[in-house]
Amino acid sequence: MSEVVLRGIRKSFGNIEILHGIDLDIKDGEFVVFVGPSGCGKSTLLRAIAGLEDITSGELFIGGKHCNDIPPSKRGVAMVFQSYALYPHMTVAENMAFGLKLAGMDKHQMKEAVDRAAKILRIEPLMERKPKELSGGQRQRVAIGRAIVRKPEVFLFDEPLSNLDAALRVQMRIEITKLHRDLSSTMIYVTHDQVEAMTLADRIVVLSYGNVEQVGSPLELYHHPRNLFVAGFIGSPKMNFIEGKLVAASDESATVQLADGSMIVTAVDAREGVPGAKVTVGIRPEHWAFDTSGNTLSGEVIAVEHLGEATMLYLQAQGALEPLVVRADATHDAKVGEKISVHLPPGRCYLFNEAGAAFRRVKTE
Amino acid sequence: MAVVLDKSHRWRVVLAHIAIIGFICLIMFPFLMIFSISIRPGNFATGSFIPQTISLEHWALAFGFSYQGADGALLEPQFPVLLWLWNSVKVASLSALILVVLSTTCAYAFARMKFLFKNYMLNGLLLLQMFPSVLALVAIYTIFDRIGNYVPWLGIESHGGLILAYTGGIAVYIWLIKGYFETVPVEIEEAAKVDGATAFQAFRYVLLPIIVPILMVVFLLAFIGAINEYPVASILLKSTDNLTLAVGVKNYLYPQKYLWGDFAAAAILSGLPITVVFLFAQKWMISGLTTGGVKG
Repeated sequence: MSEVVLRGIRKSFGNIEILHGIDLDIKDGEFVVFVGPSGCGKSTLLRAIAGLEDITSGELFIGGKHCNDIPPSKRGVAMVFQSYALYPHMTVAENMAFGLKLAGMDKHQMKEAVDRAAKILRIEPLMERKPKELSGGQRQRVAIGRAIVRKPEVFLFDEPLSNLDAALRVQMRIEITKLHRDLSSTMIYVTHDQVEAMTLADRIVVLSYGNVEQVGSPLELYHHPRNLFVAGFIGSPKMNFIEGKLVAASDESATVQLADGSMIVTAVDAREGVPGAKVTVGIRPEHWAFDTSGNTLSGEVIAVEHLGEATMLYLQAQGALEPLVVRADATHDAKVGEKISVHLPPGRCYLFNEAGAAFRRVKTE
Repeated sequence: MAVVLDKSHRWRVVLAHIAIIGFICLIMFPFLMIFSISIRPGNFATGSFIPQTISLEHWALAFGFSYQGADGALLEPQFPVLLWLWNSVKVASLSALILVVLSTTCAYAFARMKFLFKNYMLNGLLLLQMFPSVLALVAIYTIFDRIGNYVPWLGIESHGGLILAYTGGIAVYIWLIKGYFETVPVEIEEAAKVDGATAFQAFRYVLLPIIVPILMVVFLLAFIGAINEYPVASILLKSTDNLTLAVGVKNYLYPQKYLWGDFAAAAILSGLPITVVFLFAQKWMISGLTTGGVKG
């Protein structure tokens, strides 16, 4: 059990700096997810914590121990790789026992530990097989098993589910959550999939271009994204953004004039906003309403998707950079080419200034 | 596998077989010729391909027995053929072994580590290897003569010297193994390192078992190369008892007297160790050892 502390971690490959000073405190037993688009440095950060990449500058502490110059084998971490990285010439049992064998554990204890892990992951019937005789999901279980037999202080997961199909991914996600509950060790998990991040994490770290954009619990990020990037990244389908001009601002609401002239009221603390400044209104696809008048926006339906439990409407509206996505009831009968009005509940709206920083929302209905 | 086949498929198969058999006959012909010479009485290079009478005189002499000819004359073995064969096997096995050990470790460094001038070194290795060693024979002789002054067992007239000379041909094998290393995903070694392995343990327990096939190929190539090598061995070794088979058998052919039959028997004998090593190595030269380690 131990906490992981990062202080101003920087990493460069040659002249190119990938991580620009990451500060982070990961508490003992916490499940932290690094999330971000590809190329944001999340895997590099994880590899730096594992010791597979040296740290250019900054300090890394694992369990209070300064770890910058400690080789991966002595950091007390276990890692699950995206590609599984099993030892192809060893059986499942040998794969899992490898770390214990290196640590010089006696045979009896080793077998016990391996069997216990196999039981947790339900791979007991596979123990004598070679990795090539396993399916993708089974391989991933073995890779996780190899990590848990060693009882590491910190687990590192590098996109472990990205090679699995959708159904298996959901199942493994639940198992990883269960694993975390049972083992209660510190886990750091890297993914580009924000659904995984939302479902697994105690806290999410959103990264972009080697910087931490925001750290917080999944719901905190969902309701109070600090900026446009986080707002757009968390939530699926992604948040709609509509550009406009701030016309009135107070401590509990802001009025924005959109490109088509309509006035939208948003419930945010906009005291720092200057009337006349360019702002961006954000609203999630699931938060639009239909039956209320006022605070509406109209657009032309350009596509309709019937998902069964809901209907997704795509609207072309003035001021919106991309078609607006609206999640409506399954029974909604809009047709392509029709012009409809949708209502923005003020409490559901987000507002960002020209630099992309969010105004604080005063209520989240 | 019941794939639907074209009508002409059968004829194409027959034609392919005829072509293959013809080709095999073509490459087997010199061998059969030599074999025929070795079991014909007398020492003639020419004669009928299928011998009228079979005589084991050349084989007896090659194995070191004396032979009572049909005319009553007793033929004594002139040269220690079996000793030469042993010399060849000894030099070839040791040099192949050393080559495998050195080229594996070198290739690992080139494939996995970062260091200054790596690419120049790699290209340099290849460039140097392009010049045939025959061009450097005089230099090789002088070098080993000088080495022998200080370390006699590495000088002229020593098998140690010859092994050292053969080990110099390492560059090709480094390239070969490096190429194979690069097909092994780095994550597998990284997993081992996170699992608590030192760099050497990761190499020894994880990487090495995966690359056995290429090591066998390298051993075999180096072994065959050393068994067949003539120019360097012929200048480094002089006394009869020290010669390798490839150099030794040349003694059967001197201008006054070409002992074709004896030469042929000894020549076939030199193929024997290669065959044995090949049969042994074949078991290990299986592909697909890395399958399943990472997502394909």
